[in-house]
Amino acid sequence: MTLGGFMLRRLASIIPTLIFVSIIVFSLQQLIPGDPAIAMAGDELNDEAVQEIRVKYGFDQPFYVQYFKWIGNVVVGDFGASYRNKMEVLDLILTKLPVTLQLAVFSMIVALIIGIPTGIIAATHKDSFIGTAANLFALTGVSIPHFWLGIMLILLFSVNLGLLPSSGYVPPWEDLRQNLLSLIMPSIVLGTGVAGVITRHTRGAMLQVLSSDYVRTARAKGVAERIVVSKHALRNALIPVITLSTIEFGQLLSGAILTEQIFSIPGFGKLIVDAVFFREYAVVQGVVMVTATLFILLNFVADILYFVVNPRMRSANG
Amino acid sequence: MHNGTQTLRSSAAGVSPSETFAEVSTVSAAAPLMSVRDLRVSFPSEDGLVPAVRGVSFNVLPGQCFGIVGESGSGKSVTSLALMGLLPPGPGSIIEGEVNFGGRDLRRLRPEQMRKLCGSEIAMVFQEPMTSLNPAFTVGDQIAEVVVTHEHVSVRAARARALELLKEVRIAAPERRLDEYPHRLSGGMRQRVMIAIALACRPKMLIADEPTTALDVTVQAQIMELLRVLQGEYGMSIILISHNLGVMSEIADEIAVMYAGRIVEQAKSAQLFENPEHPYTIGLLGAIPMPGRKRLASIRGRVPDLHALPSGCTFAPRCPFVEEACRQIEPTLHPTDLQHLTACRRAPLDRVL
Ligand SMILES: Nc1ncnc2c1ncn2[C@@H]1O[C@H](COP(=O)(O)OP(=O)(O)OP(=O)(O)O)[C@@H](O)[C@H]1O
Ligand code: SF4
Ligand SMILES: [Mg+2]
Repeated sequence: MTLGGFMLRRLASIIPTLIFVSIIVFSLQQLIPGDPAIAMAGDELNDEAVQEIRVKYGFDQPFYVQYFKWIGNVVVGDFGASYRNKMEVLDLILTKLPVTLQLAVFSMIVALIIGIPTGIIAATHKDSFIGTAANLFALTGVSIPHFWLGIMLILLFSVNLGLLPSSGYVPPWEDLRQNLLSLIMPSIVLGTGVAGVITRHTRGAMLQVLSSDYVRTARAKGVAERIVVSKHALRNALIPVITLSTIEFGQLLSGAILTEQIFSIPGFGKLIVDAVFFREYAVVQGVVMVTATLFILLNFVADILYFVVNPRMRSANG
Repeated sequence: MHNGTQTLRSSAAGVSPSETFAEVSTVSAAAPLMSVRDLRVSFPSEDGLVPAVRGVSFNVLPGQCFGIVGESGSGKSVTSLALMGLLPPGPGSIIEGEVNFGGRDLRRLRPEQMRKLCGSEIAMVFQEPMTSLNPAFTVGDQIAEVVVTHEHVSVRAARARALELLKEVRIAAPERRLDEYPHRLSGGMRQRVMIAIALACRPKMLIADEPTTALDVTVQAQIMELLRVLQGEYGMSIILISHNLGVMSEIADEIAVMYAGRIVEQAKSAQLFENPEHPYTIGLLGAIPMPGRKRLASIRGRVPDLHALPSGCTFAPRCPFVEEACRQIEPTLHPTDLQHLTACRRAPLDRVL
């Protein structure tokens, strides 16, 4: 099978998935307690105003009518508008998305740089103190609560040492240096958590691969142990780790809420918290829909990577 | 049944039955290429040590094909992996004994020195062709790698050598195979690739651990024939492991029969087939019909559990010739005939039969 053919097949399966996701997103929305019309009416809280809003936004119509109206607009890129600041939801998303994306990418880099080597060491030194230490490190990474690590970092690097900004976000096109500085601590907080997961999986995959017959063959060939590990074993062990990393990346996009709050980073996390708080249906739906779509696209990318690194996939038929 | 080359190759010198065990642990007296002395391997487990190999000694002469036969679990693979230093390192296995190869004790070499020998002077073909090649690299890369590792050649020259080797192992469409990944190849073709890798640096010794067990019957014969031809071309020694005596009879010069981690009988191939001494060997031979001799009953019972080996002779629970004394002390390998060692207190069995 060619890469092109493979991509087409996977793309075709994305559409029904997206439709399903949109139904879920729209349905769950109905579960958020409180009446959006009342929230939107704000100060002018009288029955007429509320009723007017209901009619205006279609809240009085049956569920499926609302859904089709919404999805019809979404398809052409119209997610509606925020009633609070009258901004288009799409614009709102587009201003927040790069922030979250940048944070997620940085965190992922931190996670991979720490996680993969630690995982390899944990596997190759499994019977010694070094391996135990690597394991412990990974376990610490996953179990330390984000808010605690975040606050500790702020106390150390911002309050005591004054090296890094404690909060806020500066877009890279305004001040690149400031932008990078502001993302260091949040990326470490998010990245170390993910690094623990990556370490564990790298270790597991490496242990399995290192006891495989083909690694034994490599050793029988007289290949240096360093090359056995970095070439023969790692190449195969990374296949499951790649899949895991893309899933973790998706989690970073949607799951940075707490960290964004700690460091006052105006990303997706903050957007969605505010939107739920103010019952902004359109915004919540838009954000969740976009996140879900990104997630699905990430899986698509993971599959492509998997296909590229795994020659066996290339000849799978059907 | 025995080919002419076997008689030509054997550099037999008489060994009198009176010589001591240590001196006659091989049946031939020429200077050996490899000499294994009292090899012992055990694996720690929850129920204590599992003794997989319990004192194995043999010599392999230059250019000789030394066969090891035995039922599943008798310790054949563990023996061969120990020779190559490929058993799980660290606390995974306990190895004792000597493996002399070209004047050096392989067990005392530093890992770096051992690495230089592996793949160049001693090479191995494994029992599992389907999983022994790395799925992530092309066949050509995997053959070229061993050349680049041991010889100062360019990647291009190594690739050319890889193609040459694919031709030598008589693989169909060798040019195309070079850039293919292992999963596209059948078991027989993969085993040919493994043989190509093993031969790449013209080793002095090839260890072939059941190279055909995982293959179809027709392919088995082809691979054995290939090994026989290549041995002639390369003039290397082969340690051939199998649980099939029929396969052995066609290629091995000398055969050791293993049972529960020990060699229980060892002799020149012809001698072993014509005049087996150990009840276990006689039982194994019962499985292949031999002209001019009446079929012996195949062996009842099962290989003993290594955790709880029977006292005395480990074969006693299955042996039709067992007597009370057999259960007292384990018989050692001793000369029972010219160039013939047997570990049975009742051997030679001629008078019993
Ligand atoms: N790494 C290991 N750890 C623990 N026990 C092992 C290990 N490798 C082998 N053994 C045990 O050692 C014994 C001998 O195994 P070995 O693989 O040498 O048998 P074999 O003669 O090659 O059999 P087969 O014909 O099935 O290949 C078996 O009981 C096996 O379970
Ligand atoms: S020693 Fe006794 S039990 Fe063992 S093989 Fe010989 S006759 Fe049989
Ligand atoms: Mg075996």
